[in-house]
Formats: sequence, C-alpha cells, structure tokens
Amino acid sequence: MSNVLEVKDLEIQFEIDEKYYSAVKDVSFYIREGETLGLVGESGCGKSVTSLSIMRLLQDTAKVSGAILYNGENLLELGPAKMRGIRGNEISMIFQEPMTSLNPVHRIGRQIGESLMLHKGLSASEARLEAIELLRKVGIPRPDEVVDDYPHQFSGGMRQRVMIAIAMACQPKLLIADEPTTALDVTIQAQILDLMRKLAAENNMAILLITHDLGVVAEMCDRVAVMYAGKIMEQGPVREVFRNPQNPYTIGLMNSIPKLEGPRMRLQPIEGNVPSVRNMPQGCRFAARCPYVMDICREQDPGLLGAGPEHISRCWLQADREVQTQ
Amino acid sequence: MLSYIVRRLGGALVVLFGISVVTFILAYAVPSDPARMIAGPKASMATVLAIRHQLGLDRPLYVQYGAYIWRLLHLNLGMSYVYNLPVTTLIGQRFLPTATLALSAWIAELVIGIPLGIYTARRARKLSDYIVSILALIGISLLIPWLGIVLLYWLGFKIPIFPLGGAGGISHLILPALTYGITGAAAYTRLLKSSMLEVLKQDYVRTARAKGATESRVINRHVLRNALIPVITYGGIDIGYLLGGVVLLEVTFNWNGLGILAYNAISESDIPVIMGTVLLTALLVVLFNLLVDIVYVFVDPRIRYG
Repeated sequence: MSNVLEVKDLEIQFEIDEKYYSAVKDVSFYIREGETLGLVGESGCGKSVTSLSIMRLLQDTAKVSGAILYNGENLLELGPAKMRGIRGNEISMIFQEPMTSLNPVHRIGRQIGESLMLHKGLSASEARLEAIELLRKVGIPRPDEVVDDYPHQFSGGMRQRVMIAIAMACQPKLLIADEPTTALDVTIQAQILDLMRKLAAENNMAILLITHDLGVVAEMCDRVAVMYAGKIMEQGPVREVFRNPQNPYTIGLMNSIPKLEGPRMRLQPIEGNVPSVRNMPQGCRFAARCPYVMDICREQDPGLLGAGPEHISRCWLQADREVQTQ
Repeated sequence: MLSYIVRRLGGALVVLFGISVVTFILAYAVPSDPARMIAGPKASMATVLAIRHQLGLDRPLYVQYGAYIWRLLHLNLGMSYVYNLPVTTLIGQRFLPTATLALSAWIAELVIGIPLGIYTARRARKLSDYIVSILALIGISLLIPWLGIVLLYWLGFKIPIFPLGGAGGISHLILPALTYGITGAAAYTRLLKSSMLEVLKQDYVRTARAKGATESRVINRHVLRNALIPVITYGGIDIGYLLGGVVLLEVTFNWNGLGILAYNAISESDIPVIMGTVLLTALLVVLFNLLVDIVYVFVDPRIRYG
C-alpha cells in the first residue's frame, strides 16, 4: 500500500523575543492509505503544532522546514490556491474544542455544505441535501430538521459529530483529528471514536489521531508515534510498542497509567518537568528525567535506531541492544 | 419578541418622563427671564408681569410642570417665545432637512469607516495598518467647521464643483456628508478592527480555513458578521443622536435644520424650543437603542428575547 502522507525531517520554529526556537524538530513519519497513526505525547510536546503544519494553518510567523509529502507532492511548496484546494477536500481536520469550533451565526447545514460548495461546485440547495445525508451518517437524529438549526442548540457531543460531518463532506483521503474526544464525556468519547473508525473503514480514509490518551491509541490505531519535547521518541506498530516498549519515555508513560488488573500499586509518575523550548538540552531531550541516563545521553542525541520490524526508538540503550543482536 | 418590544417601549416612556423632568428643571434654573426676553429691554415692568402671568410663569413650579406634561400628552410642546409659532410646527419644518443631512452624514461615516476597519484588521501590525490608523486619528482630530470650510473653499469656491452651502439637491449633501464622514469614520474603523481581531482568534475561523475557504470568504462570511455587534450598537446611538440635529454641520453649511433651531433657542432662551428639541433627541436615541436590540436578533441567532 502506498503512503498517503509522508513527513520528513519536519522542523517548526517560533519567534520568541526576536529569536527563533524549535518547537518541533527531526519529526518524520508516514501514514499509509486507510491506516490510523496515533501521535501521542504530553501537552506542549508539539503534537498539535505538527498537525496544523500539515494543513499549513500555523500563524505566518512560524517557520516550517523539511517536507510534508501528500501523494508525493510537497505541501510546503504549494501555492495558496492549490493548498486551499487540498484543505477540507483531500485532507480534513477536526479539533479538540467542539463547543467553539462551529460558527455561531450560521446554520449547521450551511457549515457542513460549505466545503461541498467550495470544492465540488454544489449549489446551496444541493449542498443542503448532502448535509442532511451527512448528518444522518454521523448519527444525528431528525437530520432533515436540525440541518437548519444553529450550533448553540447542540450539545458538545453532537457538535463534534457535526465537525466530523464537515470533515467527511468531501470524502478526504486523510483526516487529522486533534484530540477529538478530550473535551467530551467518557461515554460520548467511545461513540465518537466508533463513528470515526466506521467512517474511515467505509471510505478507506487514513487518520492521523493526535491524543495524550494511550487507551484511545490502543483502541483506534494501527501504528503509534510517541513524541517528547518536539521529537519522536519511539515509533512502531501499536501492539509491538505496547507489549514491548523500548524507549524509557514510553515505558514511563505506560507506568503512569493506573491498571485495573493485578495487585494494587502506586502510580509511577515521570519525575521532573518537560524542558522549555528556549532551553533545550544538547543531547537526548529526555535525559534529565530518564532513570537509565548515561553520560553520553547528555552530550549527544542518539537518533532513531531500529528496534524491530517498523519499530524505532530514540535511545542510546537501543544502540547497545543493536550491537548485541548483530 | 412582541411582548419584549412592548415592555421596552414602556421603559422608554419612563426614560422620557425622567428627561422631561430634568430639562424642565434645568430650563427654569437658567438665570434669564423669558417674559423679559419677549417684552424686550425697553418694556415696562407692568408689561413684563402681564406676560409672565399670561405664560403662567408666576405659578408654582409643580403646577407649571403639570401643565407642561398635560400639553405634552396632547403632543403640544408649547409656543416658541421668539417665533410665536408652535414648537411642533418649528420642529416639523426642520426635521426633514436634518434627517436628510444626518442620514447622508451617517452613510458617509459607514462607507469610509467600515471598509477601513476590515482593511486594518486584515493588515494588523503591518505598515499599511499604521498608515491608515494615523490617517484615521488625524480625521477624528479635525474640527468639523474647519474641515467644512476647507472643503467649501477648495471644492466649492476655487474649483466650483459643489454649491457653497444651503439645502437643495444631492450635490448640496456631498460636502457636509464628506466632512462628517472624515471626522466620524475613525470611531467605526477602530471599533470594527478591534472586534474583528478578537473574532479572528476564534476556533471557528480556523475551522473555516481548514475547509479551504479563501481569505476573503473567511472575512466576509465568518468574521464580519460575528464582529458587527459593537458596530451596530454604536451606529444606532450615532444615527439617533445625529437625527436630533448636527449643530456644527448645519452652521458650517448654512443648513436650516434642528441643530440651528436648538442653537438659536439656547442663545435666545427660547425655553419651549430648547425643551422640545432635547426631548426629541432623547426620544430618537431611545428608539434607536430599541431598534439596535431588535437588529441584534437578525445578526446573532443566539440572541433571543422572551
């Protein structure tokens, strides 16, 4: 299967006090057709910025370098008109905040139909009919009535369904979902995830799912990339990474989740704090918090090293293991 | 909605009653004698006293106020001391000229102010934003009489395109409207700019961009309507106030409207005319405020009155 999206050596810099600092660096990943890739990490690790950079929706002051290949075409080099032709048409996005992501002064049907009118040349009345159909697909009752309602008449879960309907309107090849369930109740979360999975399977649509919830990753994703302080620490198939985590940061993340089975134990948080963008360590970015830290970790970044089929980890320990297996 | 409007109109009556009390007391607190004004400086004291009695000015204040309200309820604003005509007639003669002038001045403000507001919001913190902002600041700082006379001199006298003041056809409206537009537009520009900058930060604007909408579509369909509320509020108060008479504009362009009527009435202590014009302005401001609240409903569907 070919890759829908391939991100290569992505670096994103922001200006703070007239100096540029990298919020994201050396980020590379790919997503195959119809596949779901999870991008996990703590708040502020660069997940959302990465996703916005794919859509080229970051503010003008952000400097983005590297390559973002969509069907082999570098999105970073596209002109504004061509990029608009891709947004909402080939690549769609849903956001964390369903309560504020819909325009309060336009009817739901208009907001769903807008991308159909923009990209598929539908008339307003055709788009309205299509919007009713989309509302039915995302499981909203009485779609022919609510199509003329306004967002404030909807609950958070319903609004996120509407956002999904907007994103699905043009049957995109790739959906970027930036923490789509974080703001929702747990029961609603499961419904929304089910819906996304069902629609993705029906349309052979790939998903880039950004989350800080490892449970969501386990349920939804084929592969996962773990990010820390703007870099990918570990990447691989979900089963492989969860059963056999290689990177101390991934292990730390897993240990900090409460378990329902087995003897009760205290949670093990990762000690310390995420380094600030202005003051990134020279070597491994996790070194200051890593329980296995060695001298070399503080001096040099190890780079991503192979840990199994499609499984890579950014850790000096991996280098030792690689030597052993050879 | 209807019951809301009825309640608001009831509230407006209370406001107008309050204003009638305040203007009545203020008018009589002024240290001038209307009877003496009417009789003239050479008249005898007996004549003055007779006029005073005839106007009822020798009765207690509350009796005078009661009589005033009674007349008001019959839409009688009293007789002008100076013109010896009913105040309603005087206002009636001048309302249309003032309304024409006020409306064209208001439209000029909007036509200049709103596009500049959109422009500066889109170009925020860029050079062109600073240039337009400085020009707007200069505009707001210009005095209406000065700018009016400069425009009259250049575009009426030196290059005679427009008439030199007075009322008439559309050509008579251009220079006064332009004068008011230039001095008043900055308020709309700044109001709309700051409101739009606030809306541009909203998540739903990002959603619109993520759909692939062009920047002008994002602005026109998604940002502008959400940013209009403060502009509508100000615009309603502005036109209500303008309709009560634009003194500086009317004096500069020799336009015989309510503003001049009120201005002359004040200098001649023509108390019934002063009270009539103040009451009219208050009524217009109150009515336009109500109108603004009704317009909100059509702009923002979240606003509902029960």
